[in-house]
Amino acid sequence: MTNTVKITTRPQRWDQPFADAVQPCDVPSLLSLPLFQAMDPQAFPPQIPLEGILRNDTRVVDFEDGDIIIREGDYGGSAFLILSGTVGVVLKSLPSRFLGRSEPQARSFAESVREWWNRSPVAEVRQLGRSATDRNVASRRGRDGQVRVYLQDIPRIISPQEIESMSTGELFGEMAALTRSPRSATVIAQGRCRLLEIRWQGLRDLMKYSPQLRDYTAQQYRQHSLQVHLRETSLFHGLEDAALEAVTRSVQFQSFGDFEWHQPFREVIRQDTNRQIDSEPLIAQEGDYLGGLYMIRSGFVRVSRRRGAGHQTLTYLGKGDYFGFSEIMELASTGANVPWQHSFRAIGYVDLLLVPTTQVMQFILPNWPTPEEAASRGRENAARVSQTLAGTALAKQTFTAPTIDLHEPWGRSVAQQPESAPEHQQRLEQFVQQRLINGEQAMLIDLDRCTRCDDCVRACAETHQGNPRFVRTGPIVGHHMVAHACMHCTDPVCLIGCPTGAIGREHATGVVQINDDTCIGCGTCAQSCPYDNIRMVEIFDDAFRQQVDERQLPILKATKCDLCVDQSGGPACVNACPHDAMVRINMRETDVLSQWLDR
Amino acid sequence: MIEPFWRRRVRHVLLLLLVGLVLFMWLSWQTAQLARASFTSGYLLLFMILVLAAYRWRKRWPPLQRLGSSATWLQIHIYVGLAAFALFWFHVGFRWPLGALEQMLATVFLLICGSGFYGLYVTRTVPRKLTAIGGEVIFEQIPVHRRQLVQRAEALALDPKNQSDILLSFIEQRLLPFLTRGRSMSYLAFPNGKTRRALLSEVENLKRYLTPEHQACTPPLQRLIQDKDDLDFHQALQGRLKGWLFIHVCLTGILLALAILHTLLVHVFQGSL
Repeated sequence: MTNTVKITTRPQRWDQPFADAVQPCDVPSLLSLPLFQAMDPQAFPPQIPLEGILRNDTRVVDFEDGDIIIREGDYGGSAFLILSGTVGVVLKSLPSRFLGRSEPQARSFAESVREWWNRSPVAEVRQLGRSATDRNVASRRGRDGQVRVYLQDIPRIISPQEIESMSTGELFGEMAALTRSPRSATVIAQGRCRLLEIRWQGLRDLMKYSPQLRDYTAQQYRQHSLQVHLRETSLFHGLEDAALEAVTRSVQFQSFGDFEWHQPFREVIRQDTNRQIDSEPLIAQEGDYLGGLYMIRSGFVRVSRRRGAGHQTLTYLGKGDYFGFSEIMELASTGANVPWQHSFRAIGYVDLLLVPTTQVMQFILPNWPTPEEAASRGRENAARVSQTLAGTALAKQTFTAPTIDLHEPWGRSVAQQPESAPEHQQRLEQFVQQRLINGEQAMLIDLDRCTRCDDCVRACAETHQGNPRFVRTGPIVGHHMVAHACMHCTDPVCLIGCPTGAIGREHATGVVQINDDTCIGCGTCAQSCPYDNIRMVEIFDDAFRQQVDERQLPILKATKCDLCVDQSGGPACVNACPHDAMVRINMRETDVLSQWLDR
Repeated sequence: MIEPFWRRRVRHVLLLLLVGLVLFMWLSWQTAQLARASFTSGYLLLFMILVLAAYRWRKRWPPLQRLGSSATWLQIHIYVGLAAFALFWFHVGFRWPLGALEQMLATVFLLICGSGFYGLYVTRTVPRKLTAIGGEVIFEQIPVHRRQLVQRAEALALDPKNQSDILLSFIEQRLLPFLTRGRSMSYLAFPNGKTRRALLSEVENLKRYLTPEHQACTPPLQRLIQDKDDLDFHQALQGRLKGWLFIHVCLTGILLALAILHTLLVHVFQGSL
C-alpha cells in the first residue's frame, strides 16, 4: 500500500517574523523601555510570550529627516513606538501631491480631442523619470533598502505651529491599525529617528494581555474620537453632554475576525456556505443572553437566523450600523429578558463598540423621540420604536407592539424580504460569501441584457492608454456578473503595504487611485487585492520600446480602474453600454442594489 | 430610484405615438394646402437618417461621451428609427417607388430597417440564451478554449487508466475531430443539439463494450462533448449578435450616400439648385 500522507511540521504563527526584511529588534533592550517594563510577562500565555511578540511581531525602522512615516488617509496594520529621535504629527491636511498622490482633474472637451488625436498605437506608453507630482516631494531608499517618500522643504510647506512633536517612548498609529480605519494624520520624521514598528497581530496580543496598554489606548480613543463618533450616530442625537460622557465612559471595545482576512480569502470562498458561516467568528448567537448594544466601527457583520440544520443569511451590516437595540426595546417595554433574535458573525475583520444594556436604558431610551418628533426628523424607525415604548415606564404614547425586526434600520429590509424568494436569498448568500459586499463601486453586469459587444472594454481602453482597466469576467450571481474591476472597497486591503503610498484613497470621492509617478511596480497591491482587480503591466516609452531595467527585467506598473475620475462624463464603461446592462454600484446600498437587480 | 424597463418603454412608445400623430397631421395639412409635403417629409427623413448614423460616431469617438450615455443614444436610435420607418412610407406615398435610384434607395433603407428590427429582437433574446448555458466566454478567446478542450481530450487518451481500444478509437475518430473542427454554416445560423445528442448517445452505447473500470472514464468524455457544444453555441449566438450589427453598419454608409445623391437629384430636376 502506498503512503497517502506526508508528515510535515505544522505551520506556526511566527514562522515568518515581521523583521524578515529589516532589522530584528534587540529584545532585552526593548524590555527595558517604560512601555514594556510596565507589562507583566507572567500575564502572557506560554505560547505567546511577551519576548516572542517583541522578537517576531516588531521590527526596528530608521527614518531620515523629512521622511513620511505615515500618510493621512492611508490604511496600515502597524503602530509605531519612538525609540529615539522626534517625529512630527502634521495638524493640517497636506495636499495630495505632497503625499505622493495624484490629484485628478476632469479633462475639457478640447483636451479629450487632443488626447484622442495623439493616441499611441502602443498600449501603456509612460514616461519614466518624470518629476514625482511635486518638487517638494521625492523618494529615496532608506538604510534598510525600503523606498521612502520624503518632504524636501518642510518649513516652506508646514509652519512649526502646524506640527505637534512626539518624542522617545511615545506610541502612535495604534488606533488606525487596530480599527482598520484610515490614518487620521500625516507623521513625518524630524531629524534622524528610530522607531519600533509593531504589526497589528502583536499589538492585538499586547493589548489583550497588558491592561496598561489597553487602558492607555482606550483612554486615548475615548479622549480624542469616541464622543465625536457617538454624536454622529443617530441613536445618540439629542443626548445631553453629561449623559454622553457617561455613555462614553461605559463603552467597551471589541474586535472579531482576522485583520488580514484577504490572505486566506481565495480558499475561504471555495467552502460551502454552511462551513463558511460556521468558520466566521460569532459575535452574538441567536437565543443567547443579550450583551448590550453593538455599534459597528469598521468591517462587516452577517445577520443570520437558524433554519433547519443551517443558518440563513438575512442581511449584512457595515460601518455605522448597530444591533441589539430591538432586544433592549423589548426588554424595556415588557420587562422580560429577551435573548438575541438573530446570530451576528464577523465577515473578515470587525471592530465594534459595545454599550451596556443598562446605559442604553438609562440614557438613550428616555430621550427617544415621540412618533411626531421622529416623523418631523424623518426617522421612520424611531417612530416605530417610540410606538413600542408607549405604555411602559418610558412611555409617551399608547402601546402597540410591532415586529421586533422593525426596531433597527436594517430590520425593516429584513422584514420586507419575501418569504418565498429563493433567488433573492441565493443572491444575498453569494454576495456575502464572496465578500462582494465590500464594493463601493462594484461593476455589475446584467447578463440577460449584455450582448457581449465589449463596447465597455473598448471605451475603457480608449480612455486609458489603449489598455482596459478591467476584465469582463468574474463571479456570476444569478444572471449578474460582478466583473473584475476595482470595486473601490469599503475595506481597501490593497492599500496595506504599499511602500511609497502610490495607491491611496481620494478623500472627496472615495476613489482608490494609483499614482503612476510613485508606483515602483512591486506588486504588493495586486497580491493583496482579494478580488484580482489590480494588474501589473509592462510599460513602453514614446518610441514604443519596452522599458526594462539594467538586468533586462521589464519595468512594471500597477493598473486598475480609476472610475474615470478625469473624465467629465463619469465611468466610460457604463457610458458606453448601449443596453443599460452595466452599473457601478455601492453594495452597501441594498435598496438601490435590489431595485437595479430586479428592474 | 431606478426606473423599471417597462415604464421607460411605455413612456417612450407614448411619446413616439404623440410625435408621430403631430407629424402626420402636419404633413396631411401640408398636402391639403397643396404644398410639397414630400419635400418636408424628405428633409425630415434625411435628418433622421443623419441622427441615426451619428450614433456610430458617438460610439467610436470618446470625446463625444459627454453628449450622453450610449444607452440614451440607443433609445433615441430605436425610436427615431421606428419613426423614420413610418415616415418613409408616407414619403413614398405608401407604394413602391418607380425610379431605379429610388428603388435602390428604398431597398437599402428597408434592409437597414429589417436588420435593425432583427437586431432589436436578437439583442433582447440572445443574451438570455447565452446566460442560460452557464459560464461566460469571451468571443475572441473561443480558439483558446477550444485548444484547452483538445488538450483535455489528449490527456484522457494518454491516461493509463483509459487504455482501451474502444475508448481510444472513439477519442481519435469521433471526439478529436469534433473538438478540433469548427461547426458548419448551417449550425452557426441555426445552432442545435443534434451532434451533441448523437455523440453522447454513442458514448452511452460504448459503455456495454467496456469493462467497469473503463466505464468510469466515460463521464469526462461526456463532459468534454457538452463543453465543446456549449462553446460552439456561444460562438454561434455571439456571432449572430456581432453579425447583424456588421451588416447594419455597412448598409448605413451606402444609405447615406444614396440619400444625399437622391436629395441632390431631386433639387436639380426640380430646379432649386
